[in-house]
Amino acid sequence: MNDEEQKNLWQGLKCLWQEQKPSSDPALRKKMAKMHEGLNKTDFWGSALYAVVTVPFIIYIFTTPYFVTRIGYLIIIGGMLFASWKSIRRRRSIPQPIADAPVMEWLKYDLAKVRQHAEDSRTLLWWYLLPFLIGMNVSTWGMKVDLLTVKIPMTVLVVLIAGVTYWLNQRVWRNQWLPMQQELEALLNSDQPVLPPEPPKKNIMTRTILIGIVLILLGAIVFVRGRDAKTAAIAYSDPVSQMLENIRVKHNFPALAAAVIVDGKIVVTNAVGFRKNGGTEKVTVDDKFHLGSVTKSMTATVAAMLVEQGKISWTTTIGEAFPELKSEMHPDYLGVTLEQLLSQRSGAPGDAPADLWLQAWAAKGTAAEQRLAFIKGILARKPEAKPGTKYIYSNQGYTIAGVMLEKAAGKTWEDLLRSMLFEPLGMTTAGFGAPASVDKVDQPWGHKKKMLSGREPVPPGPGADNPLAISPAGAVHCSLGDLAKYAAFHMAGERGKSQLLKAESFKKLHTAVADNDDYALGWMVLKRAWANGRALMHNGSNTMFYVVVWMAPEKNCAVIVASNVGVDEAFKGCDEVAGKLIDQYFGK
Amino acid sequence: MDMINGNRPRILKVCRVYAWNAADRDDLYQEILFQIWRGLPGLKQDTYANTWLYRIAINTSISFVRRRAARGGPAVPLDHEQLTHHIESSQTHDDGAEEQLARLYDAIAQLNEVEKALVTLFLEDFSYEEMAEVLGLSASNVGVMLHRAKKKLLTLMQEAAHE
Repeated sequence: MNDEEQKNLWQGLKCLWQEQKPSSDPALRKKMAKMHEGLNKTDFWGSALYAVVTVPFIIYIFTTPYFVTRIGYLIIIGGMLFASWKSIRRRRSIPQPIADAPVMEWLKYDLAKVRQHAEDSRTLLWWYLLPFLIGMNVSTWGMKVDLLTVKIPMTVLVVLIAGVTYWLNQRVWRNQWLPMQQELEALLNSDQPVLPPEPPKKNIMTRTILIGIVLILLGAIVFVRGRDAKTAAIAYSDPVSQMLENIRVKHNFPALAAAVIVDGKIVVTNAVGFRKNGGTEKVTVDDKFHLGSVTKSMTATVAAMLVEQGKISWTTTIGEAFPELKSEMHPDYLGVTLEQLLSQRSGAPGDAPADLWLQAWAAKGTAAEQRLAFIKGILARKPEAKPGTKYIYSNQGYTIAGVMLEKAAGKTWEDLLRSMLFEPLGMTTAGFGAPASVDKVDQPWGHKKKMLSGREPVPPGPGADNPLAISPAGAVHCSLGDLAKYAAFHMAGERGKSQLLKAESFKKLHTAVADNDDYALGWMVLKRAWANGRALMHNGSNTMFYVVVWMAPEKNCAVIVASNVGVDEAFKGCDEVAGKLIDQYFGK
Repeated sequence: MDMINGNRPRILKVCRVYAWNAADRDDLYQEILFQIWRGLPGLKQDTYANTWLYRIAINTSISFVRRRAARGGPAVPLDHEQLTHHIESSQTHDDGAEEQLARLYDAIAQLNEVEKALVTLFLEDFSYEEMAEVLGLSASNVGVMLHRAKKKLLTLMQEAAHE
C-alpha cells in the first residue's frame, strides 16, 4: 500500500458514532464552570481533610502537660500545613492552558507537569514524612510514659507507617511517574540528537541542605549534652558506696543516697555523687533530701498522737472541724472524717483544679494561711467521688487533714511536726521545703528533666518545691540517717517500744483501710517474700527529688534510697539500689 | 460551533488514533471539543483554523492518554478484534479495504505520540510547512521525522501482513 492508497483509505473513512454525540454550547459552558469549581472544590476538601486531621493535635497541644510533646505536635501541625499548601500550589502553579500551542511546546508543558508530580512523589520523605516522623517521635519521647511498652512500640509503629508510605510512594514514582517523564523526554528529543541528561543540580543542593540540617541538629545535641556534663565517677573504698556510685553513674543521677536498718539499728548510711549537676560539691551522709510524699506518713503519725491526746478523733468530720466554713463548703464534704482523709477515701480530687493550683503557686502569706485558702477552694467544689466510696490518691485530702490538725492543736503543721516528731526522735536535720539555702550549694539541689535527657539543677527559692499550700502532703526534708530514725521509730512502735505513741496506734497507721487495696494511713501495705510477708512502703517526689522507704516490720529491717532527680528519672535506679541492699542485708 | 461541526470527522479520527476503547474515545472527543470551545475566542484568523484545530486535538489527546495511563487505564488496544470492531468503515470500501484499514490503525497504534501526530497529519494531506506549524518544528525536521515514521509504519504493516 503506497502513500496515496493510504490517504484515500483514511480520508474515505466515515465515523458513524459521531452523530450520537452532539455537543452543545451550554454543555461546554457547564463543563468549564465545573472545571473551575472542581479545582476550588479539590482545594477546599483537601484543606478540610488536613484541618480535620490537625484538630486532634491542636487539642493535644492544649491538653498535654509535657512541653516537649507540645513541640512535637506543633511540628506535626506545621508539617501538615506545609503539605496542604504544597499540594494546592502544585495544582495551581501550572494551570491548564488552552491546548493550542505547537505540539512540541505542549509536550514541554506536559513534561513540566509530570516532572513536578514525579519530584513531589520522589521527595515525599522530606516534605511530608519527615515532619510527621520527627513530630510523632518528639511528642512520644516527650511524654512521661513507659519506655518499653509505649515509647519504643510507638516509635516502631510510626517508622513502619512512614516506611510503608514511602515504599508505596517510591513504587508509584518508579513505575508511573519516572517512565512517563522519560517517555516525554524521549518524545521531545526525537527531533534532535540525544543530549546528556542535565546534571541533577537541585538534587545535590537539596541533599546538601538536608545534610546540613542533620549536622546542625547533631551538633546542637552534642553541644547541649556537652554543656550538661555528667558528673565524674568517683572511686570509693567501701563496697556499698561503690555499688551506689556505679548505679548513680549508670543512671546519670547527680547524687544517690541510701540507708539500711537491720534489727532496728541503722547499719548503713551512704551518699555518693554531687549536690548539684555539673558542680564540684560532693554530697555527704548528713546531706538532706526532700522527702516528697513520705511526709504523708508524718502527718498521719502526728494525727495519731493528737488522737491519743484527745485533741481530735479519727471520726472527727470536716464539718465539725470547720463549723465556720460550713456555708461555703460543698455539702458532700461535711461528713468526711479525718481517717477517710488520711486513707485517701475522702473523695478529694486527685489533681488540684488548675485555677486553685495556679493560685497556690502565686499565693502570699504564711504557710498556714496559704493552706487554709487552698482547702477553702477545694472544699467549695464537688468532690471527685462520693466520700468513702473510692480510693483517690490526693495531696488535697492530706492538706485538709493537716489543716484539721492545726485547728485542733492550735499550732501550725510545721510546729506540730517539729515538736512531736523531729525533736523527740532527734531528727536534727529535718526541715521544710528545698533543702539548700538560696544561692548556696550547701545541700543537694533538686533537678528537673531537661529536654535532651539532661539534669537541670533547680536553684533553691520559689519553684524549688511544691506550693506551701500542700505541705502536709509533701514538704519535709531531712538526711537519710534521720529518715532512718523515723522508720526505726515506726517499726519499734508497732512492737510497743515507743514512748510517743501506743502500739495500737501504730497498728492503725500500718493497716490498710477496709476496701482499700493496700493504702493504710500514709503507708502502703504490701506483701513481699523478703519481708516475711508484710512490707510497708511509701515513696515521694516533689518532681525534683525522690525518696523511697521500704520497711519489713516483721524483721525490724528497712531500706531507704534517695536521689536528687524526679520520680520518673529516679525510680528505676533507686529500685535497683533498694533491691541490692535488701538482698545483701536482710532479704535472704 | 460551525467550525466544530465541519471538522467533526477529522477530530474523531484523531480520537481513534490516540484512544483505543469506545468510552475513552468519547471522553477524549468531548475533551477536544471543550478545548476548542475554550480557545475559540483567542483564534484570530480563520486561515490558521486548520492547523490550530489540529494542535488542540493532538495536544489534548497526548495529555489525555497520559492522564489515563497515570490512572492505570489501558493506553494501548487490548487486541485486534476490539480495534476492528470500533472502526466503522464506509460502505464504499470492500472487505479487503476494511482489513487494510484495520492494519493501518493497528500499526499507527504502535507509533509514539509524535509519530502518531505526524502520520495523522500526513494522511490528512498536510504539507510539511503546515505540519511544522502544528508541531512546532522546522519543515526540514518534519521531513526527516515523517520519513522515519512512515518507514516504521510500513515495517509494522508488513510484519502484520505476514503473520
